[in-house]
Amino acid sequence: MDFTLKIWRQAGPKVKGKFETYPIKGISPDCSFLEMIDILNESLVAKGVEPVCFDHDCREGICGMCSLYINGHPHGPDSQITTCQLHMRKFKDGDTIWIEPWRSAAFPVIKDLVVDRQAFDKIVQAGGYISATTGGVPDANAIPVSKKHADTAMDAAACIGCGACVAACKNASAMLFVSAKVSHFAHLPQGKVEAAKRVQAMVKKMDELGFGNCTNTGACEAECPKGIKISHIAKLNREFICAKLG
Amino acid sequence: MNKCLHYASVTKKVTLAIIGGFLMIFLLLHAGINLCLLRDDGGEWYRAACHFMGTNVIIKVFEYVLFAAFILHILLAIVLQIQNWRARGPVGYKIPNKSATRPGSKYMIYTGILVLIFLGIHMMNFYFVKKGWVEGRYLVELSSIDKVDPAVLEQNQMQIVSLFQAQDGDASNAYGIKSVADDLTKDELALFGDGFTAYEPDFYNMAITLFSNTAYVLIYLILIVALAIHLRHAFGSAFQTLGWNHPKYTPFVEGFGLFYAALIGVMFGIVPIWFLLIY
Repeated sequence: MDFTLKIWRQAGPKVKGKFETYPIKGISPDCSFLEMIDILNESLVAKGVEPVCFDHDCREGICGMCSLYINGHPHGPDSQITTCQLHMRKFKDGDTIWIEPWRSAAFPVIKDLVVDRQAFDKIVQAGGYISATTGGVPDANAIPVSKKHADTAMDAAACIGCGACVAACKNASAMLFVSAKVSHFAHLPQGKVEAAKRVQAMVKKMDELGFGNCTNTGACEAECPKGIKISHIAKLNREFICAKLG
Repeated sequence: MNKCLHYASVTKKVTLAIIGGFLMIFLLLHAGINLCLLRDDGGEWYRAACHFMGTNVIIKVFEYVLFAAFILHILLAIVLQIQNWRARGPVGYKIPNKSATRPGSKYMIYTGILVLIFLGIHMMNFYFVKKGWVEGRYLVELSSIDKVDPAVLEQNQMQIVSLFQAQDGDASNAYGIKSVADDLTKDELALFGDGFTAYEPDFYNMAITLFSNTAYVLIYLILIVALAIHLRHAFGSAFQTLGWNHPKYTPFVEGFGLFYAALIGVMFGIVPIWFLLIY
């Protein structure tokens, strides 16, 4: 398969970036999207051109490291997968593929397609945890959790913090990410203790970092590689209202 | 305004949603009153509703609550939107976002601006007349005639009587006298004397005049469609913002939101269409 790639190139955080065009030929339909960029980079290195910088790690869709806004979709055109799980057979031979970094004031570009997602770490540091004394591992069934709550908490815990929700949202809102963390803990007895403090602290930090406000468009849910539902955002809103009302 | 910026995003959103809910109830009431225009009674029901809305003490208090609600809703929406635009960062996407979104949700600020324009036109045409800031048409009830200065009444007797004389098709008593002198200009109203205040704006004739103008009706209908699109997202979104999301009931709320938006659109839209095409 042959493609024309339009890739955002930016030498550094303070440097003005622009799109560069790279034709690429003979790509296997079974090649993953990141492997396709690896092949491109090998050819660029051979020509003495700086290779394209992009985030990646596990390459099996669980680490949340890969990103890329491909032809108007975070993680590309397929649903509920990360960019590393996207294959070139999802495109047509001869397609022009536009590749951009996540765009958000809270996710500044470091280089090319790599953005700084420490903002998510800062939100988690603000309250996305439970305070527990260390010691022996308690019995798994010591604290009973209903199946319904366990399932909902597990669904929320599937969030890998990739930032696709921010990238997809027209407001660059981080509500789906924050709500997944809040909902995950709020559904479990261990997390309920600090629920009111947690939701207020995490929302405060999210606002401070310059993320936009949720307007319930649902774009985040449509693009989330882990299928996190916006019902978690409603849960966050409930938790926040209850926390404020005491 | 500066303090408003410091409230948490969720607090602003929840306030916006609660006010939005209040405005949605008001719209239903307003649309219901508008439907009275369709009744073939010479404006009797419509005028009775306008009279009630203009004179009832509770409604008068709620008028200020309503204005405060509108202003707060608009200000909060502007603050949130500016923050949202800034959140995208210095460089936007080359390829516009193609993610699946809820109907109308991406255009709330634009449909909101159209609704605000509609509100401005509407205030100029009706509310400012009631306040006396803009000239309109007026009506005087026959029962209010004893409030006219006797000297003025004697002087302008013939002209005042002519204002109450029924034309063809008007409802009148055995003497051909109408219970209401309507569609009065400011000059005709002056015949009742300077100190006469027992008159009301004649919203019925003002509405009919406006709705007989094709260009006005077209603009009205476009803006009503914008309102319906705004409400289409607003209804379900308000529930979501208030945390009311349930796997069993949310599909019903979404469906009801669509029904509500269509209902408001039809209730407001059918009146000008009826006057333009059928009346």
